[in-house]
Amino acid sequence: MKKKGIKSITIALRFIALAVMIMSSSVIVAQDKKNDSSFDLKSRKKEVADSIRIVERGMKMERDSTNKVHVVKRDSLIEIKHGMRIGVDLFTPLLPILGDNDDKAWQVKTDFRLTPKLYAAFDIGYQERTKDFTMQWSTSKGMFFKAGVNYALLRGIFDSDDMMYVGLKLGYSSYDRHVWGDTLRSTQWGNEHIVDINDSPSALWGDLSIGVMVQVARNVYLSMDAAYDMILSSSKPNGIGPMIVPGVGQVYSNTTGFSFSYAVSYRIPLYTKTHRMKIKEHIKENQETIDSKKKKEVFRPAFQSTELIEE
Amino acid sequence: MLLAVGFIALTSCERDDICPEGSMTTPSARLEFYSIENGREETIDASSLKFYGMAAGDTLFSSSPSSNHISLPLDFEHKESVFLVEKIKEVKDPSTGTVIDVINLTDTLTLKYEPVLTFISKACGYCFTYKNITMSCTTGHSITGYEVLIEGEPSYGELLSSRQVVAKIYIDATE
Repeated sequence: MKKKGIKSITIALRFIALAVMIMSSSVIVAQDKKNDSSFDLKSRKKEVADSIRIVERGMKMERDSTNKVHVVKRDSLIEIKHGMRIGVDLFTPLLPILGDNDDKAWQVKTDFRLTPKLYAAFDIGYQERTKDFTMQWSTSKGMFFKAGVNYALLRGIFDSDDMMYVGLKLGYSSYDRHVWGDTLRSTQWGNEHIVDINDSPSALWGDLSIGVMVQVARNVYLSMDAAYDMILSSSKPNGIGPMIVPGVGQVYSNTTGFSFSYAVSYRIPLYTKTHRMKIKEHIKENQETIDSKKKKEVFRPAFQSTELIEE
Repeated sequence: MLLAVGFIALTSCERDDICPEGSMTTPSARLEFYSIENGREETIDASSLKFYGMAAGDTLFSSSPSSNHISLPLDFEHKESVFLVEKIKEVKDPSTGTVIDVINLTDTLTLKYEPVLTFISKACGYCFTYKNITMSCTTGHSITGYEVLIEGEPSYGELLSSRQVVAKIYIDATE
């Protein structure tokens, strides 16, 4: 009876977790849309996030025949607030609830802005995971570390800390492993051997990730990150290669893994530094309005009616 | 989109590897039977021989060669396997050709080794392999002689596959 209660609670928790994830991802989408629709230089300057301040130096605008600005080139000095973001991964601790098992995991993600586009990133975490490998079971538990860089892509980089990024990190974990369950039998000799191995392997891997990070409140960020992990080197005690590595998860064909994180971060502002940047911004205009403007031009009289009267 | 990628990555975690057929298994010791006729070595059908697996003086199982070879399972819980090699010899009356007596001729074959628990793969699990194999055998009864092949090149005492020949056993062809 009690067990049943616990089960229904975990199912409810799963639904809540899913709902939270879907809701927060829609927040990100909404945020993206908001950024898309508004481009107006004057209002933009006011809207600039608290993390940077643009100090204009030179501005060159490319105009077309309608005198409309299409491209703005700026050679600017940008004041950027450098800070350290500390985040907690919400996804990893959620996995055991989603998968209904006794695994445990947490992860803390940090990054630090080096240049306007480049961030140093450091993650630390713990993972305990048990998996059925058909012939045997394996449990891995241990701490893991990841260190590397995140490089911001596309727009949004200068206006705020919102970013889409690619990350390249190096991960390391030295963990405790328990492998058990396989039974070897010899019917002729009438004996059997149950495999039960405890060892402490370690693994070094490269982590190639892609992610988005969006500011949801002052100094509060949400981020999603999907990573492809490649085991670079791994110790093989008892001849057994990496099965589950903390920070990577299950390892396929001894080399590949996929990890995913969904984190909420808080930024601690540290100092402000001025960076010199070249910025080129394209102003997109609705094609329809351009067409209608052109039509108007075509049918505009070559001279005003008043001028005619005067002649 | 990233969520979708994440879920694909997660669900793909549930896929399990499959142990392919023909994967490594615990090897048996293969013995091949030969006789020397007119100074030439020839394979011989030894299915009349009987091998008994012995543990602490008790017979656990018996096995006969299939034509000119036998694969003997080894005891991986101990460091040696002892086999009794039995040949039943019928003593015939030279004049009438009728069987007047049956004699059991036995020799003892001992294999010594170190069992090694070997990891095959995640899906296949484990097997035992053997290293530092040595073989000794009494001769003169069912067996006339033997030559141990596994101790030398290229195995150097390591038994990984049932296809490896552990030893050549010479038996008397004249019946």
